[in-house]
Amino acid sequence: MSDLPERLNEHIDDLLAERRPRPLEGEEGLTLAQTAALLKAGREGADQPTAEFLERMRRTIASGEVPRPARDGSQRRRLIAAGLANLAAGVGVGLGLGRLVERQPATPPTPPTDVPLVGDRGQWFAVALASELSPGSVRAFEAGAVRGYLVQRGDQLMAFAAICTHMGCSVRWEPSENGFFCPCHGALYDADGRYWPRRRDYRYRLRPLDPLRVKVENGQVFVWSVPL
Amino acid sequence: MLGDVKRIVGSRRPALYAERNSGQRKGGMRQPQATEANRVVEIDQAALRRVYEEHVTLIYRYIYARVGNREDAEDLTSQVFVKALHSLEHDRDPMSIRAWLVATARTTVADHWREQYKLGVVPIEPLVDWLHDDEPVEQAETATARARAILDALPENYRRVLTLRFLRGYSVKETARELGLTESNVKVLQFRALQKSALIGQRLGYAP
Repeated sequence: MSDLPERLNEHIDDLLAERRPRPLEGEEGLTLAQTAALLKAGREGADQPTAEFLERMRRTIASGEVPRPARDGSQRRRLIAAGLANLAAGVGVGLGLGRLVERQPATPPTPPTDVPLVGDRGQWFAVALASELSPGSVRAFEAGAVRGYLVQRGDQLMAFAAICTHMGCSVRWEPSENGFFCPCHGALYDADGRYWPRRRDYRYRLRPLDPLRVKVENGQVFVWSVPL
Repeated sequence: MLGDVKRIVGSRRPALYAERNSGQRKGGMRQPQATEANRVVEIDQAALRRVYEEHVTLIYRYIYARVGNREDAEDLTSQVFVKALHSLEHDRDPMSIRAWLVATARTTVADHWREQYKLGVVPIEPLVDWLHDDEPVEQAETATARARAILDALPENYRRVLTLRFLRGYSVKETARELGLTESNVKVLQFRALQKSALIGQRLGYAP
């Protein structure tokens, strides 16, 4: 209780740095936080949205891939059509991808579903020629209802769905970041599909990008998905 | 422009986005099970874009005035437009788009506080005059005016510390130097000043 002035001070510093402050405690804390927000917003010009944010939102809307409002853990999948939500739990883990499905130690507001992206009721889709891939290459593909990326790391080939595990927007490969970037809220995943926390961008760690099963046969790369 | 959008909302036909069965796509490709979850949501992008372009700045500023930081304001603003995309069409009464967006922003902000503070009930700010969409945006009370009104009602020492910290963005160190106080003095002073500001804000009808 006695350290409230100290906590409040950190809170104010966060506001001044334009980042989400750690909540104070109780009703008094809430009242102080709301008052601090009101005063901070009074700084001349502070309440103007940045051009970058406006453009990001514009692109999201133009892409038509605006996620469902968060209500339940499956909302991100509904967006990508074609009954993915109905698929029974199954295998769904790609070559050497076991470590990617490890659960994050987190308590997200909406619990993650444990259903792998595509269970056993899928089919193989040819998405690329093996000769088109080289170590370090990242390549977008479309396999039925799922869009994703092939990532070649050394001799290991991985496939991820390009669906942000936050709210289901499409992530895209950003060579300058060497990672997958989500235009909606700025989430970043590394080339292995792991969520890459920057600043304090979310209140919890996001799950890694959903892996897809992948195989190479007769020089052809296949991804396990469902038809559109 | 707003007239167009109103017609979209007012019509019985869901115009902001239309659902259709994905089984009919791509020349009727076979669907394993045609259920609710199999539907594709298709967005009338032009309509949403228009709503977005017209109102995003207002909604952002409305939210920013309540959360006071860019990170939360961006997050909550996009939540409002996500909700708009999926729910605006269900709204059959003649409430305007702007009123709908502001009302949604208001509950989104309340949800934000509720989630952050784990309090059972967070009072929702009264709608005051935001519901009247014929009121020009420029006339809506600005965040600067609200902050100014509170600061003006404070005793001099409180006003000075909060002005330096919030409006000028001084660090505690700089504030201490400016006021000739120790840093811990500044922290206690700004704490008391903020408590007082909360009371004044309530009296002025700003705080819920």
